[in-house]
Amino acid sequence: MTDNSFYVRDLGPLQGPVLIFGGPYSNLLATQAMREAAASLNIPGENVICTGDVVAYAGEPAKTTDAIMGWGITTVMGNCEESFGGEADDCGCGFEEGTACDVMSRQWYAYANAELNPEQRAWMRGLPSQVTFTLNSRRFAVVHGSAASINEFVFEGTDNAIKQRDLDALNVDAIIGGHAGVPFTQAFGDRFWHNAGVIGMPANDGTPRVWFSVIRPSGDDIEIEIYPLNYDYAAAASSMREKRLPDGYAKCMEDGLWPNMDVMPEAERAKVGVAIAPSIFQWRAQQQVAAE
Amino acid sequence: MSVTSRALDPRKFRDPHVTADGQQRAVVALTHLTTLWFNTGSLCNITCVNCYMESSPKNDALAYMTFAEVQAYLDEIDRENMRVEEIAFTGGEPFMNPNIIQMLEEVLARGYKALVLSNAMKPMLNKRDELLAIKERHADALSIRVSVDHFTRERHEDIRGKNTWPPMVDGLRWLAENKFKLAVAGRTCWDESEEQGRTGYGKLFETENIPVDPNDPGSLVLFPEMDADVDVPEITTHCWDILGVAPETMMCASSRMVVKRKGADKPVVMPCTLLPYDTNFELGHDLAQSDKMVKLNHPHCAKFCVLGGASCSPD
Repeated sequence: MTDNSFYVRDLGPLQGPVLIFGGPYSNLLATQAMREAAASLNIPGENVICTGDVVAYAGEPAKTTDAIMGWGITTVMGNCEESFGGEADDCGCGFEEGTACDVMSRQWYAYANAELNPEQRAWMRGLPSQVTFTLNSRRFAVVHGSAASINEFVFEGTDNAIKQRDLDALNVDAIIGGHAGVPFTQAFGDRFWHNAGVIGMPANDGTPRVWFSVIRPSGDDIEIEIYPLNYDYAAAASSMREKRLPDGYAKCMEDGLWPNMDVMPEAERAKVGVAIAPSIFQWRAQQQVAAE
Repeated sequence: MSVTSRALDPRKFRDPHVTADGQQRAVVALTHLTTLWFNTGSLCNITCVNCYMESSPKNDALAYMTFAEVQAYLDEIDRENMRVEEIAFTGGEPFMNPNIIQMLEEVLARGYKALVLSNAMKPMLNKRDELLAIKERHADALSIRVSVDHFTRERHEDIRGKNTWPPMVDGLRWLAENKFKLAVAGRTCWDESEEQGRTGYGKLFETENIPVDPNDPGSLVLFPEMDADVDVPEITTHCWDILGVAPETMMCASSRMVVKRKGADKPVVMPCTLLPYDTNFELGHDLAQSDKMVKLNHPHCAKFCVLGGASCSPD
């Protein structure tokens, strides 16, 4: 494995529930709450996977990176790790020039870029681009964006052909993606695309809650549980304001609404402000399961 | 409601994941364990119509919880630093458990608030001296919620049996005179609006000099009819948004109840006070194991919690 190269880390067969979360986004308080929730659910670090973007919009890039590094979990490289690790000029999210995201990302990126130390950047460079594991004989691949691109946004409303393309390309039973920021589970015959959501910012559902998931063996079946995470969002928002980071994201932490929906498909835009509910998707063994 | 109720559709509440019409069943995640309930045992000194616990002088399906069992759960809370705020006791009639006073002392000494659901009849009045001693030491950290099924003797006794009214009123008066922190649980099984109910209870409280605010839903808790055979809709993941109800406000988002089945080696944790017997809802033996999502696969989940807004905690 060399730095700055694409590589796959195979965790092999995992026993017991696997906890997935995405996008800590420099949100230290949410990251700490995530670790407490994992402990409360009795899920050890070796069964926890972060889908990347440890550092982004919020106020504590260095401390959040340390919290993830010190937890003993597996982290997939996000576009932010790729950029900070390689000391790039921007976050690599792929926002179009001049859009609201593009303008705001210049501010938080500069702040985070000044905070991170060489050891943290080296850790980021060493992260795998893809993580694989098996659970109950089913093969999972975890990527940040899509199998094709680290910064491709894959929402539930994204063209299904893209998800099927990746499931075929990686030849797995399920792909777990991050990057997009809204949790969902979608079946394609007996295969799945799943996104655990992110813990660093709300899911544009009008509530300050953030999201993670637990993939739990249940007999021969697998249950994919999408959980809300409550944390001290008011303190996280005020920490951002103290640091004069873009107010749009601090406000989003409080009201649960994204500052803009540039990257969202129509289907997700239509659900703005609709509170997401926790859910369990049952993936039955040897059986065709219809999408919701 | 006096309308004829339809029987529960047998196709409902079967698959824990999917409703009868094929939709994804709603689930509730434990947000934060705030109240831990102990069922002290299913025995009761009276037999009420449609008691959701089926408690009676003969039903010992849930054994008396022992002091050591309660202590073990309190130790787990302390050890894991769980930030539980309240320990609550229900039954049966909790004051029939021989160790109830010792349990209350322990809970209060550890700094938790304590709540006991009681019918305020003879079993409670038998513990007058011990309760006064607890009140002396711990003041308002102990609350007692008394079941008064209706504000008239006639309807109260329709549900709770003949001559159950006078001893209940004696118990309620004694609690009020001795300034215990007090709440009342009533029912709305009759053709009365909630407003009529609250007005009726208000008059009773005034007459008997009971310091309970009838208009505060936490002080006078009104429960709907508890007949599990009546048809109710199933709850899907879409219902929350349609109803404007948040899953985080459900009892199973903040509570758990420990029960000890007759003949069992050890107690088991259930998601709420309404489902003491259904073994499909068992969550494990300790509190760490009980941090699981609850699938709303019981008519009570729909009727009392999602649609009825039932909450068994005064706060």
